[in-house]
Amino acid sequence: LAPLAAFGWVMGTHLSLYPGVLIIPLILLLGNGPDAPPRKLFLQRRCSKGGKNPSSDSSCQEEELFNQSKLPITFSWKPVIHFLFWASIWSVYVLVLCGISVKQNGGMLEMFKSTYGFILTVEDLSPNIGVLWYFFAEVFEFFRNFFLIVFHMNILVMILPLAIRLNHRPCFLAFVYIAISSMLKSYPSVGDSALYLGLLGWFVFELADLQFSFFLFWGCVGVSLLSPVMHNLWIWRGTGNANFYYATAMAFACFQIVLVVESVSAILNYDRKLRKLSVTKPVDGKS
Amino acid sequence: MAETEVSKKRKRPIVRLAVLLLSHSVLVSVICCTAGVFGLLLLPVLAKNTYISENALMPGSASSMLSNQEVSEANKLIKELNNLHSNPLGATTESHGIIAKYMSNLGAQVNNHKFHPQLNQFHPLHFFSGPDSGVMQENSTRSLYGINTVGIIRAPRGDGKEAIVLVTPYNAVKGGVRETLSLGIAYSVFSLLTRVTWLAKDIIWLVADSQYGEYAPVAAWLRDYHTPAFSNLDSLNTETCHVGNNNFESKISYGIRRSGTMAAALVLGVAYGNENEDTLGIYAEASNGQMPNLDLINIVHYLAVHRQGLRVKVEQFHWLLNSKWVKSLGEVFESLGKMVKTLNPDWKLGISAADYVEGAATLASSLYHQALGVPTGPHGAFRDYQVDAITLEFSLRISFDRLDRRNDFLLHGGRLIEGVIRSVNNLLEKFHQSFFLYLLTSPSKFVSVGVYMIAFALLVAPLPVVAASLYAKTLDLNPTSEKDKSATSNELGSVLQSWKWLNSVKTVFVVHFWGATVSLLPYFISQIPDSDPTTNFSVWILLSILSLEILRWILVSPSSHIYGLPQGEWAILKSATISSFFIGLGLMSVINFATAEIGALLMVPMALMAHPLKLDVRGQSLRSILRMICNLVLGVISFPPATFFVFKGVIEGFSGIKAGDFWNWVESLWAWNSATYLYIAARS
Repeated sequence: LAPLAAFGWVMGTHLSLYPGVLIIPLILLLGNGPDAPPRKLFLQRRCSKGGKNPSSDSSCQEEELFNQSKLPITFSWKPVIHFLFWASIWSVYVLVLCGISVKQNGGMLEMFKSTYGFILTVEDLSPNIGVLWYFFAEVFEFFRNFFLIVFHMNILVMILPLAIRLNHRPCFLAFVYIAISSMLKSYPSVGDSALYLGLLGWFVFELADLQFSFFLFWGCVGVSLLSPVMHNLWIWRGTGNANFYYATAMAFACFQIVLVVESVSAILNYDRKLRKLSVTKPVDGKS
Repeated sequence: MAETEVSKKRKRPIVRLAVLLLSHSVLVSVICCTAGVFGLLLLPVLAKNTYISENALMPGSASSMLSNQEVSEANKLIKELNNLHSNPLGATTESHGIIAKYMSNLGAQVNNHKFHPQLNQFHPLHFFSGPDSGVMQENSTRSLYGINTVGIIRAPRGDGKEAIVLVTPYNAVKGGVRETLSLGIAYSVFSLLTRVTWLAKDIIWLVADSQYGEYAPVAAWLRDYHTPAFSNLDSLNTETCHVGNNNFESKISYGIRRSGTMAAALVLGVAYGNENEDTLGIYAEASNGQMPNLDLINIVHYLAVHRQGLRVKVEQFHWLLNSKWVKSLGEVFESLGKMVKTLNPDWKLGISAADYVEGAATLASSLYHQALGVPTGPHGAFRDYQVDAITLEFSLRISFDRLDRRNDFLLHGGRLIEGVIRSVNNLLEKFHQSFFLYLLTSPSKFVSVGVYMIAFALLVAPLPVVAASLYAKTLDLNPTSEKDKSATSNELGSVLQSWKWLNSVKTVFVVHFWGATVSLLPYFISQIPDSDPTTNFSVWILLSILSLEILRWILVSPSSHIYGLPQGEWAILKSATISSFFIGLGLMSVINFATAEIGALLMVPMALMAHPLKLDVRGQSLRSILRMICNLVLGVISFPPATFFVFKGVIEGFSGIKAGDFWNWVESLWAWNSATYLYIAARS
């Protein structure tokens, strides 16, 4: 399992830089074991078996603390190290192959500059469905580096809090990472959105309570149909300008943000509901 | 727990208003619909006078330089061309030769442009990619060709980067005094412009060969003008042309000469008219409802009325002029205007009944022509390349044979064209100041987008409200209970409930897909050789019904039970349909407002009132019966063939309708790359 995962991760990062953030959910997944249930709920289950009346809550907590030191730490480092080892092998392999093939075109430095450097420095400002091109067309040269750092930090800053909050669900964490990176990357395209929308089906049960799903759906359909129309109005007809097209790109980003926020809150609500059910269910079962 | 408190606090200001709207959705939709229709009827009252927006234009500020000298030269050309028609065989090439000779005598650069008229093109997706810049694919029409003659005057003080285009369609085979007169006007202006000192842009005079229609040669020339070819075509295109009987050989070299971007284009035509005075007809609509900049029409109108004494007219619907209810509506508005004036004399909303009737007729014609998306003249080809162009059609009182009348006409017409060119010559940028989106209610009154969009928005506003209210109602009908007794089974049930709208969305998309296939069918049907329109129409109907059945079998799963839907599911289906309809209307209003307006008028009432007929039959109350009748009537009206027949019957009296008429209309629609066609298909 680890070599396959390592290969996928290395290839993803090599082709476009952003799948690199997926290393965190990968490590969590491999460490916990792929089929492990969410850790918090597991603990809760064990704890509630004993208590019946509310006063047992405090004893429950003590038991939890006690159990924590006694529980076998289910996070094992061995698969993770295995994975890292394989990742390094694959990356060296890929880099060596690249080095051989680009030798006549200027060497590895040139390759890094034109692939990763291009993604990081946002050189080409042709219009796309993202929100960066318009911004960087207006920014002054003096501040360009500053804004580049801000925009890349926008993604990086979100990695750690999400990892802390959602570390019991690494699959969903991966989904959220993919969604955020496909929205805020430097050259987004509709294919990136298609990737995470496809992954939405993974969480159908958990996302059953997704509010505004109907509104979001029609909003996304409307914006994706409006976008080529505005493009035509701007470029072929000349009766519109870049603002029309950028407005649809911003609306698209808005819908994606709402989708991500609502799905995260739905998952957290689901977890809370499970926890409540698992606490009260044994009580009802026994009564 | 903290979240529910926060959500309660959030519920107060905006959500309460939304809840209020949703609970009274019926009232809201009735009010908004009637307000929208009323707004549309109010538009001729709200029309403003036109004015010249671009200050650089200054029409009529210079005195005209066209004199009788140019007119006499034009007379020479007309005489020579008229004498040619005694021998019709070599007419085409000889007329080209004559025109080319006259042009080069003036010192202009002449070239001949050969084109192959492309018949029956159907490119529905061209809207997204712009005009056809590809090479022609069909070689079967190579035997047919036409020759345009193009003359270019290079401005002595200009840099050759901009041009003004004059187009005169000329059918050499048919001939006639009418066509040669338009050539005469253009020649007189052209000869003046070779001698004038104020010229800053190049002048291109295109004598379009209109044997195969007036639009085709102009479109072909524009296409070749805007697609640079990097091979040496001049040597390849030199041909010798033999005309059988006369053994007349002439070498004609084909090529294309360019000048730069076009600032404006004028298409001239002359028509026989039997009005009481000299009139000038302006045709402005281009393909897909695009209009040229209003300033161009304003210049022509100003110069024609204030300098040359012509009367300007735009197209009207004559049957509306005589209709009684429009006249009564006009009187109502007149009285309303007077009442408003007594309230506050500053508000100039008054309009006389006759003005209202004329305005309504012109507005209806403007809406109709924009909605069809078929250009009303050869000027339509220019708009695809972002060049503003109009067609001017002169019509005189008496026939053109009297020489003094003819000279008078040439002088006035020539001065008008010269004035327009002089104004456009002053421009530093292309037309951008005035409106691109407007509706004309008379040659000097217009309604801009900010006004007519409000009427449309009122008409369309109830759609999302009704959709949201229906969806909210279905959510209330299926509450997700939080009982813990049967936790797992309830969870599953609630999951399926909350994703249930996906079924109805799937149905909506299947119907849209069927509409798309139906719209693409005529392309394949037209490939059947030698079939008349009626057969085509019946084949089309058969194939559409067949495809509907096939799609129903394949895609609609047996579990969704379209015919026996319970109350909640049907409401979701209606909500999904209305949402998709709203998105479609919104998109269409951006592309071609007139189509969206007419579509909204026809179909918003139907969409809002749709209710399953079976449920209405079962319900015994008056309300449900009324609703059922309304639904049937509206459903029939909004089906496009039915509407077409009804309107044609109202106009022409039910006598001459054949099924083939609809086919011809549809064919003319898709021959012009019309987005209207896609829209009708998507709505069906």
